[in-house]
Amino acid sequence: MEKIILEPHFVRKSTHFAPDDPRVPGQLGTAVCEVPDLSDFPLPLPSKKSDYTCSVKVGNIMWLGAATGLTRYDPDARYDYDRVLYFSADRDLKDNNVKAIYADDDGVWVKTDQAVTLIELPVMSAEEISDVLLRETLRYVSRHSMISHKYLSKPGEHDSILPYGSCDNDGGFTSGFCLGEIYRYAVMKREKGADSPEAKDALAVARRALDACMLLMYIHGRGDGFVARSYSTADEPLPDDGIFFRRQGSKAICLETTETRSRGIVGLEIDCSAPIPEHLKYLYEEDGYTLDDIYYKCDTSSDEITLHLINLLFAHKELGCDDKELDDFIKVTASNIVNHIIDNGLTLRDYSGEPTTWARWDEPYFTKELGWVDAALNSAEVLFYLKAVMEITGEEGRWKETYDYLAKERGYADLPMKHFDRLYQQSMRDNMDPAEEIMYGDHWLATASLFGLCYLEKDDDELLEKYRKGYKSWRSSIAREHDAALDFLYLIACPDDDTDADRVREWFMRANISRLAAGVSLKGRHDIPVRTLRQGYREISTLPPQDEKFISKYDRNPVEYKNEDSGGLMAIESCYVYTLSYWMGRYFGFIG
Amino acid sequence: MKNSLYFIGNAHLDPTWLWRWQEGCGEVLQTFRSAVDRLKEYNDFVFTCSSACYYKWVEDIDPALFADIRELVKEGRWVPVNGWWLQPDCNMPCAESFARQALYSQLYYREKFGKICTVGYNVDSFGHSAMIPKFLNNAGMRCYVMMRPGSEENPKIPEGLFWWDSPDGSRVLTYRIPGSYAESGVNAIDSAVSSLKEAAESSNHGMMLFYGVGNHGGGPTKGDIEHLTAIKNEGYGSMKFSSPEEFFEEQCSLPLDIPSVDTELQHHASGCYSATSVIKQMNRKTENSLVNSEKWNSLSAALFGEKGATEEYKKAWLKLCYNQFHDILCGCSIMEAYEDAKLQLGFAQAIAQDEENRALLKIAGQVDTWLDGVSDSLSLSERHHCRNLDYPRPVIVFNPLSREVTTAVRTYHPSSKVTDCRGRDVLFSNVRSSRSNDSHEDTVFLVKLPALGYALYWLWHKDSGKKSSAAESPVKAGEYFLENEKIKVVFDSETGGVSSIITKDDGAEHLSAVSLVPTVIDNSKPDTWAHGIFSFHDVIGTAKPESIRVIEKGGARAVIRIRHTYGKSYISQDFILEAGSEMLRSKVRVLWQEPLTIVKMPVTVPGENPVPTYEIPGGFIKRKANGDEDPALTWGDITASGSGVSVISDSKYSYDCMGNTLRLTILRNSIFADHFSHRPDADFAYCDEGLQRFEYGIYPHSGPAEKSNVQLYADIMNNRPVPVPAGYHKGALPAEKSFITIDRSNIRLDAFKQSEDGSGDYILRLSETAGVCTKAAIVCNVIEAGFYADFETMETKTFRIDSEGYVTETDYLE
Repeated sequence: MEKIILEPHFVRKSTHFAPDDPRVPGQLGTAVCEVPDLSDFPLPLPSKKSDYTCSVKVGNIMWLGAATGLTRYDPDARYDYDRVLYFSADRDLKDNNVKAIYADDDGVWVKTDQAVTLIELPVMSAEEISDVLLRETLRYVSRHSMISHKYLSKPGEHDSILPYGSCDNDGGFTSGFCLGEIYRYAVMKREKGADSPEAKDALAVARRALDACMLLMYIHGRGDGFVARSYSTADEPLPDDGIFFRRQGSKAICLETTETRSRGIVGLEIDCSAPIPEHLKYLYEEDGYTLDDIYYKCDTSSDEITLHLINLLFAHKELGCDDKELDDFIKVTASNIVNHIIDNGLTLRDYSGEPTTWARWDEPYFTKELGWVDAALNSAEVLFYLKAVMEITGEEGRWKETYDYLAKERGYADLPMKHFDRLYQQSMRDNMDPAEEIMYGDHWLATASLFGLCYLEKDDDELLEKYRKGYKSWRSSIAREHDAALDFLYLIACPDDDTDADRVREWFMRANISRLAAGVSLKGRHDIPVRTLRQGYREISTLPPQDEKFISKYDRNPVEYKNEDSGGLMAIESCYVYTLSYWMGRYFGFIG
Repeated sequence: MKNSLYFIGNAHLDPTWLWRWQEGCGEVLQTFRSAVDRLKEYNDFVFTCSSACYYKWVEDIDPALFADIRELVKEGRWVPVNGWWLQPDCNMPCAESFARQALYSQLYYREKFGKICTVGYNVDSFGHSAMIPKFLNNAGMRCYVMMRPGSEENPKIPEGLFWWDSPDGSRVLTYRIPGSYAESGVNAIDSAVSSLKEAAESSNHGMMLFYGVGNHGGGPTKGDIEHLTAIKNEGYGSMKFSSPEEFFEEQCSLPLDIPSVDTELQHHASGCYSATSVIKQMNRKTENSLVNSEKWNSLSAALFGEKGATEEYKKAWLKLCYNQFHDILCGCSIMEAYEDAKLQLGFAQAIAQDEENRALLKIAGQVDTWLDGVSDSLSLSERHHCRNLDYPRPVIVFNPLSREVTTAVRTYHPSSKVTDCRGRDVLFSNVRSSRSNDSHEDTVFLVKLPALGYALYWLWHKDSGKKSSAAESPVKAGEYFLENEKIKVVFDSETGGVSSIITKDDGAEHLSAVSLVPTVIDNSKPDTWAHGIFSFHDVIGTAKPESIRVIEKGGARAVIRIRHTYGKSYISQDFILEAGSEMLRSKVRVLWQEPLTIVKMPVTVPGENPVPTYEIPGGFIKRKANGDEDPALTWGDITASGSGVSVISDSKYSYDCMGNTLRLTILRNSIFADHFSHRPDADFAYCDEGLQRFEYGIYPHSGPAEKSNVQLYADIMNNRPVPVPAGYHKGALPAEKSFITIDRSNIRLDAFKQSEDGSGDYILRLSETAGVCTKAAIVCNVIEAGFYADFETMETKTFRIDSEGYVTETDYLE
């Protein structure tokens, strides 16, 4: 892919007013609602032509109001994707019934049934967008410095954030966020020097996020390399979702949930006497908590391990080089995790000494029905862990032995290539379309593992070729996302392939400047076809620009036919989808 | 269950081959009756049969038998497979033909049997193009049974089960039949059971044994069924009478670990890509005329609020689908069968022509062509010549392609001046007409046409006294050269070939040896199919040039005519270079009378690492420059060191490429249906004997073929604009208009039609042609629709547009 230049670009800003608000210009009330002539309109229109009821022209730019939203047409836009924009409820408008439009120096005033909305298109650079999103996330989304998402008590209102709300994937999402900040630090250090304010800021954010991730590796007090999924404090409600242990002195006691009741382990006590590293305690102590206030989630999956290890890999590379103490700690932590997996027969052992449900990389699991499909991903994951820990520690030993044994003797290096075969066969067995079988959350895991393997495997061309083929086996489903970060890592690993630079540019330029859930009006769009898959799941035939689709993290089908953001209207998401992509692009030189 | 043998009772039916279709139809009736009888006699027995065409024959001729079959289908004992009209050739039909094979057949199956076929099944077709998985997936089929080429012809294709992928991401679980699709008799069955048992054990999955008398129908005999029952009872793992549907379903429940294949499955019967030119030409012409006619019919229906001619087109397409049967389109049936094919394809083309004419005249009638004063009285002479010399004649030129097109078109009568609808003079030439009456001259003029639309041109008669003020023509011709602003072509006086093609923008020479000298090859050893022979290189001579002369010069184009002779035959080529064109066109007339010969047109390019690229149904493919005969649709290309030459044709399907030389096979004169060259003495009829007229073009370019304009030039050659001489009238339509626009040149409109369900919804089918993932904007204002869609490499998407202009993505089955 050619290097892309991200010129400053407009972003959407909507301000809503009550219809009788004195700030609303009087001309809006008297604006003439002329029905525009769209008979030979040269591009697809978001609303049906007969739904358009009013229009206003500002220079060559035309604003068109419809009963189903607002359209902006700029025939002279530099990029095709900027020629027609669609503004809709709830993100841009209060409702979609546009009754009048008036333009003045402030922007475009839009009268709808419920409100008047001022739409502005301020111009921002990609770096500025990244910063705005980061600050929003740090202010609203961070929970004990873990970054995932938060819930609201009132839709669309930042200040209604609930202070609690753990997430099943806090560990994984925080790692992704942290990785973006590590790249930011590396770029700022390279471009402006380690002592620059920008580099220092990035380092501080990255360090805190990294500490939050590493605390999960110790918070359970087991001392065996296990990794907790997440943790909460006693003043936060206990989610009825999985297995939790509350720390009490040197014991941790199993809390009551549907899951623990069904397993009959409510009240089970296990040891938690292993010490917490001193330098991580600030993460809970600064808010006045002690260890006894903490309950952690323990049924950890392979997802968290994979994302932690790619994060640790780059933390070692970019942060560890300036901080030996940190680097030593990263080495110990990574070693602990990988040794745990090897010591436990390529599984992550839970409270009972049995493997957790979703952290298995062992051959017996691969022969089971679920494991047979998972094997293509999990085999790559465990090989990546081994390769990563060798890179981080600079040592080989049992990791190299295990790696060679699994990759070469047990056929683990061949399994990633079977991903599409197995997914497809499963879809036939289930009478589904392959698209209905895709687990979108797996895309980041496959990317981290297979990029990691291709990035780190420098000695064995045969293995490298297998990993590339394995990566390509995932490509058709990953490419559906047109996600910049996923594309960048793929292109580094498989340089013989390419991707559409225009799509990547569009992905950045048409970003939202907030991760506050609001939802869009995708359903009913006249310019986006819908298709129904075998089992009735509905998708759209094209991926809309980011600012016209719902927001989500790396865990949703981006072409799902749905109006709602991830978490509905009552959530705010982490910024890392954007910040990770942007700083990764800068770091690896895709963005000039 | 893993190592099971599945006994698939079937009857291979060739409805036309060494017999005409009428006999094939009778063969189907007898076979179906026999199968019903066997099913009633043996409770375990299951019968499998492909091809919707056969069911339709039986339904029409013997409704009682058809009723029995419907019951048996309901019971799961009679299993229809292959949601296509029959087992077509899988190399030469265009993508839209495959769509129609599926559309009409699967809807028929759904109507008659309550379900579509989930298994594709072309056990006898002579090789399988790389995009077949796409055609199957788009028609609801995710499994496939094939057999040819056999393992001796291509051992790289796995026996038994494998995944087969096409570049758009489509995939079918494929079973390649080891051995035969028609095992019958104790010895044959014993031998097949024995080898399939071994294959099942070594492959770790089940295998299918296809049994029953075939080719001319027949089906499983009592003896076959009873012998298999005895084997089954002896017991080996698990054996059962079954169907391909059940086989695939059960294999899918196993942890399969099978190979994948991501290319075409070739070669068998390489001679069939060129044998019997007439059927190839009729196939191409019928496909294009139906697709184009349907577009105009649908646009007319949309403009005037009418019902489209869906039923008529269905009749026409089904005639075409029938004649794409592999033994017909491959040119290896008996001579008499081609007389039937000509009638049937003529019927289809007549429907296309009728509907197109109706639609274009209706649209033309709404274009405002009125000139004040034009209706004033005329002189007797003017009335006799149907013209008023004071006024120009309006000609509305319709472009069926979804891209803007610049080319030259021809109308009758000579002109003194031609202008476009904005009054600008355009280049034209008065050229010799095909008639010897009246002025003996026609007008050829350059047009620039909007995508799937029209433009109005004005032609002043030669006698009008009007003078053209068009710019000087960029076209020049000399004794041995043609040139325009884009290319210069030099002819070789010794051989009558082309010695140089230079592109002017980069000064690059695109030939490294004299090219396009008709080259004659010995064809006496291969049979009609060329069984066991995959390349044709026994050159026995080249045609000798008899004359080279410039016959047109200046204006819209220049033409050099070269006539070659060989034995009792001649080849006359008019090399045509139009202003502004990057392609040298050759209009060929061949009278060929040399038995057992092949004629090829070679092109040799300079450079390293030559890569031949070919258009195939639904996409393109890169192959090896190893001299093998290869099938292709409208173009083949050779590119080396970053530049290349494409050879485009309007009716040919066969090429080879050895090193830096690409050769278009223009005819292959075999004996009709000469199976394995058993040739007891006779007064043989030859399948390419006599007169042929066709066109091919040479297009030099830089960069890879698929990223060049080759597809555009090929589409223009195969889908000519239609000039409609209009009257003078007022009208609501403007002087030029595009009805459907697509903002990406690599997204092509394959079909625009009304849906089969009579709802009045429109169907729009689009394909990616350059191998690039693309987001495209499609606008069709005439039906108030405009939408975006993402396309994978070579992906085809079908959209349904309702009366409100809302769009849903569907598949071939609409």
